[in-house]
Amino acid sequence: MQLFEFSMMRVMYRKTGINVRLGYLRAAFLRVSTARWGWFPLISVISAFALFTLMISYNAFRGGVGSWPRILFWTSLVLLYVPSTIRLLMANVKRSERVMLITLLGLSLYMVKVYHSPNYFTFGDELQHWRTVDDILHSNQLFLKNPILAVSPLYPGMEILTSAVVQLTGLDIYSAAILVIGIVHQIFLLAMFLFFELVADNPRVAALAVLIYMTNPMFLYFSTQFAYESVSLPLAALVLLTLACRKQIETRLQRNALTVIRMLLVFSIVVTHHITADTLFVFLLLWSLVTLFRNRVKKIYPAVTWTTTILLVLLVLWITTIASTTVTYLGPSIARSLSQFVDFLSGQSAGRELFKSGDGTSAPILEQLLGFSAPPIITLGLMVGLPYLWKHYRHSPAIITLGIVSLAYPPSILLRLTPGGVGLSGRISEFLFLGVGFVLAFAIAEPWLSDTQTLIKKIVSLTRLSILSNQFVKHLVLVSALSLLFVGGVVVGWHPTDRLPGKFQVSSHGRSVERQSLEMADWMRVHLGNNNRVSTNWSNGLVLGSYGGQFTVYGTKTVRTAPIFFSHKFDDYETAIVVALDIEYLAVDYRMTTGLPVAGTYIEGSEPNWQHHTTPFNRDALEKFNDVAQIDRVFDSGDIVIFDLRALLNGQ
Amino acid sequence: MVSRRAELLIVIIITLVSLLPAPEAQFITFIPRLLLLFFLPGYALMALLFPETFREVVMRLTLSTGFSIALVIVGGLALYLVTNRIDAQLWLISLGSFTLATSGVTVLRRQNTRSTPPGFLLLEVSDIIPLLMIILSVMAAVFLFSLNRESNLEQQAAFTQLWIQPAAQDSSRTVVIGILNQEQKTMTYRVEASIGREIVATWTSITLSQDEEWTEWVVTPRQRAGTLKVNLYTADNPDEIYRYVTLRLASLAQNGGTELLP
Repeated sequence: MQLFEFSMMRVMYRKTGINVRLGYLRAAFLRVSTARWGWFPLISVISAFALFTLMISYNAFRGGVGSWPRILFWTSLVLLYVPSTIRLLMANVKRSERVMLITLLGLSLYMVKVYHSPNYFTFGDELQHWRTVDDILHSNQLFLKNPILAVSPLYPGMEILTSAVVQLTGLDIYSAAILVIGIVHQIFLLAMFLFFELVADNPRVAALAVLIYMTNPMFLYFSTQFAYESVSLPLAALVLLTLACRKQIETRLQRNALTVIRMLLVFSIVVTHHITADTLFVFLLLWSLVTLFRNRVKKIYPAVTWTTTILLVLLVLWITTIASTTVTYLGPSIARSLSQFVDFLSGQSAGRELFKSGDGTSAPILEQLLGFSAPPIITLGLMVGLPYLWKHYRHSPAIITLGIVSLAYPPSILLRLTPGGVGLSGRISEFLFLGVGFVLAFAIAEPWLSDTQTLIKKIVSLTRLSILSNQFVKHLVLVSALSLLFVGGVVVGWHPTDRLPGKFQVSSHGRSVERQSLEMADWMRVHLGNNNRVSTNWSNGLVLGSYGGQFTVYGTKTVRTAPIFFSHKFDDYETAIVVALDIEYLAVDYRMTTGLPVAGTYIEGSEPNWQHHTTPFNRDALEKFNDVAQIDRVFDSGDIVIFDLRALLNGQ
Repeated sequence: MVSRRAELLIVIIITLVSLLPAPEAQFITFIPRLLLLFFLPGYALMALLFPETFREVVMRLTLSTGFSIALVIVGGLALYLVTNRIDAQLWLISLGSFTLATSGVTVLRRQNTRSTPPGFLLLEVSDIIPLLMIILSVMAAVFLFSLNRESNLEQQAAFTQLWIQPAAQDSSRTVVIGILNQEQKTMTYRVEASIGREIVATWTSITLSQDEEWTEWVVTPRQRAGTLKVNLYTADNPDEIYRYVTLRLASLAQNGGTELLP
């Protein structure tokens, strides 16, 4: 029997005082551990209980009840993650059980996000893609203009899939999207597991790699939202899987068939998400180069090389023929992130305050500490895992490639020190953690836990802590470290205001979309029709552009919309803006006067004091529209008022 | 144990069921159509191209689903480029025919082989209790989700909408006034419409329950200037304007009427 399990039983006896013969319980424990289903049924029940506590905490947050729900929230996350972690770290676990645990954990963590927004989407990215699906359904056409995210219709993969679900099942867009993302998310985890298993030839390492991948900051909310990356990433994992499983095929005909299917997958990625296609290209290129140099330029891995080439060709073709705006969309934000980073390194800028949102609120101290704990743990794990991999597995180009990818993690963390780099660092982590998870899994499974305890002997001799050689203690250390990684990832990835549901907050990614805004959008759609040009604040712009079916007007390089709202008067200058941008309606949300914007933006990026607001929006500036003779006040729901500006456009 | 040939026949049957016309058979076709989108085409393709390879359950499930998703995405794009539209009928025809064709070919090919490899659906009596635990856990999660949905709606902030719009295009003097009660309780309102200081219409007691809407058409006096203002009061606070909307009479004139503008 494993020493770990035996030690756990002794602890149970001491705590409960039950005088039961050790042999009976030991036998029962062994039966559970080696039974067909292992601990899976028990962990299922624990997960259901964890979701129950999560629901209680979410309801309490929505009701605005104190801060105790926060403890319940974290408890539920720990209850979801830790039992599977404990079990997956064990050695004598069947492969089937590992797969089931990975699936269960993936599904349970997905429910965390679904429970957050159970009736409609609340995250900005989701609303943007909702609009594209809605357009497809109403017109049966692709590539229609999307006013709230111009590139979305140009990468319609996810939207094609979702609209197909709606058309064939009769579900509404929200339900269909939840289903789509749930399915592709599970496929992603399984594909990752299978890929890692084939590369490492070890299901334990594979399961641990997936488990560690789930600690990446973007996993809980970003990877599960209704956005194109959530579909493209699983497809990319499948491409890697088809490359790794090529060895299992014996006939040339089947190899060619698999190649054709892989090209299908590659093309589906190209038409679904730009960054995933670019990143997959970089990964495959790296893999090809590693193979080339490992084999001393004598032999290449044709499948990887061909896939890289075809991917590049398709990518270039798609961008040049269909999605030319991708460059102008991605280029400036990447350039800004990098230039801010360079300025920070050279001392020209101070960088950003960590764990602080646009409205000035900071995360609790404990959360900040948890957030800081992840990078050193990962870096330590890489320092253990990378030399080990190089020593024992450098014959495998795939493993070397994953190791190189993991090396990019420590520098990527530094991007978080700048305002523009936060987003980039977060996006990159989804890809880098493929390498990080793999390397750390090896570090855990082999040097740390294996019987050849060279590393442990070194640590024990350095620290004189002989207890570290105890298997139970080693497991405890690992469970704690992985739990810290997981919790730290959640802290870093999503601001507390956005990660928890609650009362309305101004310009919050998760709390600005609520019923009053939705009913306003519905009213506009029903009574004013679709695609009216409307200007409004940031969050209502997303709501009106999606659920409302309107054409949200944003400023151009030369004409901005912010002055219309910020100015205390409405005269020729403001009228000129309305005419220049052809704004037919204004939707004014007076709740902007109740607090600072969490995302740092009231209206748009060029507004006064953008990202540095210190006082709420001035109410007088919003009341001025009532005094303009040519403006009709056509809708009033208390907090939101809609003004009709068409008379101004018609010169009345 | 289910033989591989039988599995393919099941695939064919499910595909045929998914092709049944909805909405008459929507509850029957729901699951089959989901399978048609997310699993069947990929599985049929795998069975045709790799009958003896990738037989492990997880591998086959993952690749089948992944290939199906890729087929839908690329197929949808291809459908659009060829027909300039994508709709339910095209999906059913394309996915259904693809799945049926590949499954049919595979079944026919396997009729020529002597032995049929065993399927991978293996369950035993000892699986009952663990399965029950898993199923109950899943049901609990779904139940909690539906509870969560209800409480999320209940905990939203309360409000009332008041709005005004010009009525039909052929009448330049008629407006529509509307109220929607989202206060999460029954409310009683009073509405007053005025032009300048002159009250042109009033409704003293409008009682609406939650989610109930009230609309009224109002013909405005024949005059060329001025603004129609509609004030909404609640029974709880009869002297304070709760909501108000305004509409210039000139706005009405431009909506299809024959009135001349000043």
